[in-house]
Formats: sequence, C-alpha cells, structure tokens
Amino acid sequence: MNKKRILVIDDDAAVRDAFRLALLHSPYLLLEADNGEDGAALCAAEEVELVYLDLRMPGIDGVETLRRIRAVKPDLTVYIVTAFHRELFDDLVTARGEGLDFELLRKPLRRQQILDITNGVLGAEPGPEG
Amino acid sequence: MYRLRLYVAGLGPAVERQIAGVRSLLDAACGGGYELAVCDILEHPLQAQEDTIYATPTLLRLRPPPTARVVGDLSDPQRVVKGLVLAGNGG
Repeated sequence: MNKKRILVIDDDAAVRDAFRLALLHSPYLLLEADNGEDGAALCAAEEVELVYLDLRMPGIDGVETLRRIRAVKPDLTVYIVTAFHRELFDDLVTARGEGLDFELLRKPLRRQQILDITNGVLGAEPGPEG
Repeated sequence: MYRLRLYVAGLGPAVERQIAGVRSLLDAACGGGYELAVCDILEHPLQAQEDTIYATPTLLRLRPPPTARVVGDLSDPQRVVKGLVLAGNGG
C-alpha cells in the first residue's frame, strides 16, 4: 500500500527536522522543500495529501506559495505554520479575501502536536484532553 | 446544554461550509442541546492563546465538564462525538 505523502515547506532546517523526527515512525512519507518555489513545484509534480507551509520565508513567502499551490491543487489541505500574532495575520486576511483556503498551525511546534494534527487530518482517532 | 467553541482560520465560503458541517453534526448528535460559538483566530489570536489552541479547525467542549477537544478533520461524526464525549442528550 502506498504511504500518504506529507510535504513540509520551510527554510528553517530545524523545523523540517522537527517534522521528520515527529513523523519518523508514522505511516506517512515526508517530502521536504526549503523554499516556496521548490515546494510549490514539488506539490504540482507529486501526489501529496497534506502540506505544512511556513509563512515567512526568503524568496516567495508562504502566501505566494499558497497561491501557486492552489492554482494546481485547489482541494489540498494546506496548513500555514506561524506564530499566532495579529501582526503576522495581515497577509493571511488578504489571502482569505482572495478566496485562498488554508488552515493554521501554531509555532513553536511540539512533537505530539505534529502527530495529533497529522493524524487528525489524515484519519487517525483523536486522543483524550490533557 | 453543551457549550462548544469552534476555532477557524478566517471566514470565507470554505469555512462557512466547515461551520455548517459542524452544526449539522451537532444537531444529529445532541439535538438542540448545544450552544456553538465560532472564533476566528485571525481576529482573536489572544482568545486562541487562552484556550491553548494550536491548530484549526479545533472544536472545544467547554461545558459541562470534562473539557475536551477535537483537532483537524471534523467531518467524521463518530470521531467528533467520541472526541468530545457527547452523550446525545445535551449533557
């Protein structure tokens, strides 16, 4: 059976490492890109079921990367990974205004949170509160 | 009466469908015995911080205890009912 594929797009190697370690023993295959252009291209070329996308990156940022992804994969689940601060949300409000769909995942990330949200999106059952 | 809070990322057609799906699921699971508040994280990041929200969508059960939450896919009724420990009679 083919493993479900997850794409992480982040210029920070430590963040990509965090996803890789968290999902090391999961039933998913992790793809990585360290910039938005490569990430959007990878997304267009590969079958991917879930994307974790950094908001702030050198080159094209997360919102522009999202525009490129949406041009080819309108229904793909894309999580924008960012701190939850109002000053970081202006671009996301604009993106919503353009009709771009996305979900949010808060930085900094904990291993269990990466596992829970990945399982929550890709089909595993939720765990108890606390 | 269940008190629930749904955290979403902005408002738009897709999120409106998400909200409608949750209401439909709750109608089926607990009849009219619930109150659902919707919170847009883009507008209310501090509220999300208070509720220790780390991802959207998140559906929180606030009352009655125990508090519970479901994060991610909210389209599966069994997953939501089990995750929120809904009894089906409005608590």
